[in-house]
Amino acid sequence: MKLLLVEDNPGQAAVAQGFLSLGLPESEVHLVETLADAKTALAQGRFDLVLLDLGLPDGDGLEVLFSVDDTGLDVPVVVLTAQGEEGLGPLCIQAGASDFISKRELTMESLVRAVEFGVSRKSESIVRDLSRVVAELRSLSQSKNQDFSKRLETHYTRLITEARFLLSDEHKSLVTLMGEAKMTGTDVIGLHANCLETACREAEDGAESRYLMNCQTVLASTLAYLADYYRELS
Amino acid sequence: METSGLIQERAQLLAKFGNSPPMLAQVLSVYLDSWREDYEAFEQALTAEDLPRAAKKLHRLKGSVGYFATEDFFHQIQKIEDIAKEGDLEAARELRSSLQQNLEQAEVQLLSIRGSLT
Repeated sequence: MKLLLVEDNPGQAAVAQGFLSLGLPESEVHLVETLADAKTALAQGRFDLVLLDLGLPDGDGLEVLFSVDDTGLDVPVVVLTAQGEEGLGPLCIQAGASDFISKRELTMESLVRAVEFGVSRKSESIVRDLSRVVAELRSLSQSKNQDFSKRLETHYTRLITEARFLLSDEHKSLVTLMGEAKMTGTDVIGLHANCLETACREAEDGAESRYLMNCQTVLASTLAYLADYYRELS
Repeated sequence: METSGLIQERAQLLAKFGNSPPMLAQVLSVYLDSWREDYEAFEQALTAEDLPRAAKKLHRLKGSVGYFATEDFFHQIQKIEDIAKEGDLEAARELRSSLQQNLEQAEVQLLSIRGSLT
């Protein structure tokens, strides 16, 4: 579990890190002290959750939460409120934070509970999204009995898991293969559903959400290339 | 261990940190290494009559010592922070010396606790 701790007070950071190292020893905590550094860290690395102090040198209050939200990375945020900021806690929840904890009442148990809850809610949301996407794609493919070539599945799965292959010559070659096999759009959708499910099942921590975000581009571009292939044939 | 109403009991602090003496010692060290810098920043702001800045520095200091402080000591710092936020320079100056005294006394107590952990 990879956590981003955004806290400019070294004493308070040490307490949070201490609690996490005791209560979640398997977690990896990355500490930054400013909102700017938090945004950079979020852009560069994948985090399972952000622990966010609302009083930073370059940001205050809800503005800080909104800034993290604006990165669009959909990472759960647990807000750490100071004395006098208790009223902000419920507002932060309404603004999308997973939870808030008063720093004055911070304990190892409350911090671990908030982190685990935030991370598990995110995982449940990913699983729900995946099930829905796969079910929709399968229904569109009309459950045809298809005899997919292993090589086709392997290469198609790479499009989902490795963004560098998207729109590449390899991608186009794969689509040519599909065209030569006279695959229809619904055949491709069925292939896509199977490969997406396999990729997500075998994904390392945090990769599932990336695959889900990329998969629609993979499907759209593959179908577009296939349409071009058939258009050129006719 | 006598704490004179400023710092929580050693056992209480240890319990907060999973009864791990090394962990508590480490956290205490971070506070002990940094509190003076925060207090001096507060003093400088007060001398410059920059009360918003003084309040901010006191807020930071309060946050750091807060994990170890008793409720009374925490609220003492909170009171001075509130006074600074309200813009009452004279009142803030009057309370400055007792705050410094208490912070130094707290340091002694925390050093003693840290010493007992190794």
